[in-house]
Amino acid sequence: MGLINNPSIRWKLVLATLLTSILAQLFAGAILAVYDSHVYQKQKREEVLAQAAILAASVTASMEFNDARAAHEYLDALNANPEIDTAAVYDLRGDLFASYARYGTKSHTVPARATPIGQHFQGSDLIVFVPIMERGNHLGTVYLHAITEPIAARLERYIGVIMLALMGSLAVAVPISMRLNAAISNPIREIAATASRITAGDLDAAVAPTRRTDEIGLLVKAFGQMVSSLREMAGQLERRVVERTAQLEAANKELEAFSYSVSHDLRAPLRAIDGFAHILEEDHAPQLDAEGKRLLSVVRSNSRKMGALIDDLLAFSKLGRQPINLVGTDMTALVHEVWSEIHTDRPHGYNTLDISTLPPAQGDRSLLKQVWTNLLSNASKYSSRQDFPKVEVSGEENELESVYRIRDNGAGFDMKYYGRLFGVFQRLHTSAEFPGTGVGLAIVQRVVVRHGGRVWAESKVGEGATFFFSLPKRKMISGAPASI
Amino acid sequence: MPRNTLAQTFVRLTGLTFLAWIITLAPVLAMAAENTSLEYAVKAAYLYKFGNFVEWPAAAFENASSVVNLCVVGEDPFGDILDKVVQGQTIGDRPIRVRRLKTVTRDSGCHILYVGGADTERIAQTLEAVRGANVLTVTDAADTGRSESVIDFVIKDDHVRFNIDAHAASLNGLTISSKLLGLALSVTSGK
Repeated sequence: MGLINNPSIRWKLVLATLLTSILAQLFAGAILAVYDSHVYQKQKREEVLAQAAILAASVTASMEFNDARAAHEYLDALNANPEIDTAAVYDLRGDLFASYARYGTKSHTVPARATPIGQHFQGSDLIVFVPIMERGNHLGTVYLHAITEPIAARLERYIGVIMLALMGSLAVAVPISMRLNAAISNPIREIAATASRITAGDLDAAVAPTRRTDEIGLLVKAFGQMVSSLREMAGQLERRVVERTAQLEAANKELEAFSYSVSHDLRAPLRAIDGFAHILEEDHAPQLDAEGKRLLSVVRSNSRKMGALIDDLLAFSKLGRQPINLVGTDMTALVHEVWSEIHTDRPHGYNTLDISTLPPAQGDRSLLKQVWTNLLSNASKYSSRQDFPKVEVSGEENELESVYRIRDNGAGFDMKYYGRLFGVFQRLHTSAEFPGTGVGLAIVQRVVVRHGGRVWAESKVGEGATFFFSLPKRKMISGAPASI
Repeated sequence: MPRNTLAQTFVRLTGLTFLAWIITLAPVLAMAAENTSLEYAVKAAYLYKFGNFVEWPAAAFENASSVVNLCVVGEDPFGDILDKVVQGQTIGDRPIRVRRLKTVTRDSGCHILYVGGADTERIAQTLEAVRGANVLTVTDAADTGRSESVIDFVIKDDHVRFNIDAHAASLNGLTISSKLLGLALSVTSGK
């Protein structure tokens, strides 16, 4: 029921208080009314009986000495009691001796003869017969007829009084109960508001402390303790993150310094190998037979290949340290520029480029050029065996980011090796099939991620591959960790 | 003779029934018949009924249930009516005995004393004789002049009524109920 469950706790408390007090008062009123109407009749009966007894005692001499005039005087004294309607005195034989009727009474006449002793109610009329006794002698009978207030009229009056009392007490109780209930519901509401602020992330939100020792006080206290321990835990967590990040950065720097020095130091012996192989080839060629010359050239080409690997490794590790210089970049022009460079450098057959206008980007132009170079040369390379090799470049934007798409109709790859696609020196094809060191896509990923973007790809073996990368449109995350 | 008529009546009606009947019908009969005997029948009933509204000192009786002596001295206007009326009646727990005396003294043991006749001098002597004794004196001489008795019968509007001399009562050590005083035509409280 919405009326019971939905209003605030304050109204629920007020409602509960009022309903309880109304019920209690109605119940008490009903009991009082029933009790009173019972007692009222009893009381009236006793009153009228007492009056009748007094009258009976008063008229004994009048009866004995046959003085109806004196009896009338006693009867007329009943006029003082407005409830007595009619009265009469009967002699021993039951004949009327003297009678009285209240002035103005219409419907009531006294019985012609006395009836047996007793009292009974006829509706709200009380009829009483009592004996007249003098020193143990029975002299006659007194009759009294009293008109009491009807029970219905009495109940009606009672209901009116109860209603008045009810309204009066409600007028007092409602403001008091609202006041008192506010003392319960206000702290609860405050706790609820604070809890939702904390949920929204404001760990500094707090509930004002209270001196109350009741359940509300306990709740406020417990809540405060919960918030402070939450705050403490959050602080610990943050400190730990900072600590770990620092450790990670240190380890990362170390690793990069290591790989840089390793690649750098590898070059010297490599250059020596290549240099001495070259001297051997030029100065001692006549002494070598054909097989010797061939082996020497294998040594030289492998040392050159290793040199290229080391170059790529150096370039990759440099990427992590190089600061990003954000500028507005026309991506369409950049793609055209890169495409023409690739195709003067190392022609890959009759590739065609299909390019639509690309959304501009905010980024480091030289790094973005590296991205395009790697992606476009990959696309050219893997589609070069097709009869009609084709590379499509397109892009679109929404309010958050720009997404660029490079699609070729080349060899493609198996999606089950997707996890290795962007790893350093990870290759899905052999060098014999397609030359390369396996660093290109790792570089692409590192540059895009450092710009705050994402890289992903889709492919099927033999049906070409599509690479995507996105760049955020507004805030560039230039300070992103340099360790990816 | 009226006495015979009444005697026949008494044969038919006895006890309480008669008493009630006589109380109710006595004024009517008295008025209708102008019969002095009926008047005395009423007076006879009143005589012992007075006893119910009078307090004697405890010394007037031997014990709580000893007899009340109702004495008639002098002229007796009641005949046997008085004996019939009193028969079976009590004053409180005390039975009533009717005694007829020629003369009365303080020591005659009378509690209620009816002094009959119209001889005021003789009445006065009799009353004087019991002055100070615990005797409720009743006379029937109101129409012949002042009496010194405690209760004096009067006929008013064809009803038997009475005067009370509270002073005389107190001289005789009697207390008369206010209910009875209330019915008296006149109450004399002192000289």
